[in-house]
Amino acid sequence: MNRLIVVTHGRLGEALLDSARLILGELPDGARDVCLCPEDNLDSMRAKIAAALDPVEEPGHAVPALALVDLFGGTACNATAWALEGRDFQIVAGVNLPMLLEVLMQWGRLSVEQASRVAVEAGLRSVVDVRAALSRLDTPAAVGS
Amino acid sequence: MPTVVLARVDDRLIHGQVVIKWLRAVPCREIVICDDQVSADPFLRRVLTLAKPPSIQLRILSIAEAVGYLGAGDGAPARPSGAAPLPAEDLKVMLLVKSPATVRALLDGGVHLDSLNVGGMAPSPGSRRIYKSVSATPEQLEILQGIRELGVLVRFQTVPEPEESAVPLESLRL
Repeated sequence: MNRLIVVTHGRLGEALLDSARLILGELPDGARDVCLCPEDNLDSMRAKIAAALDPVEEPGHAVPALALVDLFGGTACNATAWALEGRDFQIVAGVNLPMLLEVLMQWGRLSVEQASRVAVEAGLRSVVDVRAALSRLDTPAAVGS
Repeated sequence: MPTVVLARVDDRLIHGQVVIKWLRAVPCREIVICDDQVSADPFLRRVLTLAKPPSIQLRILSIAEAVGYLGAGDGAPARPSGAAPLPAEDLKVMLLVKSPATVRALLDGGVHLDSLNVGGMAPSPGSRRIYKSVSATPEQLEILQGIRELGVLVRFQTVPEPEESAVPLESLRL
């Protein structure tokens, strides 16, 4: 079973997974959050991420995984990138709900490499200036077309 | 010799608070991370290099290298062989370290600091929380007191504003 971890400042990851559950119903077994708490530093955070990635019976032997992290350059991201030492998994920064939903919906059919590309594309597509999009609907070219 | 515009103890080093808040409040061109373990860890060096904003230079130095780089006051600073050339006189740098012991070593090596910001120290065995995200062992507290006795203004503050939110070591109830 591939693993999907959502690594965030505070409980954002848990909340994102809860919201995804509202929309999609049950989530894949391998999905979980890893919380960066105020008392964590780089070292403790890397240990948490390693624990979330490695099977209990075989520490250090990670299964295929995708980590979605919140803030590029933040500790959640840096510690996850540091955990790449000795492990091979995918990391995408900038997690949001549309990205997470798209990945979860396709999770069972994708390799983690493919899921990583799906995450980036969904994340990039998901930011929309809604007011501007409405205005474009109202331009003469759009009216009656 | 570069000017240290902010010296901060923060065991997350480069992270959200530093990039989003401190770098905007304290303009500088370069971040200097001083830590013997980090400077000897090529993988972590790459991770931190990736984490820095593109407009900021990053130097990751051992204590000995940082003493040479940040200058030993008057005398000629000891410079590691093969080090990058010294920057222009007016280079403003932010100094990030993980622990008070590193600061003490830098001061003992002759680096001059007017003030020290303590913003993040994770709990460790024997430590207790003394300020928001700062936990310290009795030994670390003693080192901070010693740094203060050297004339350095030691203040606790996680993010830069408001300015008056900085708590001096002497007014913490310990």
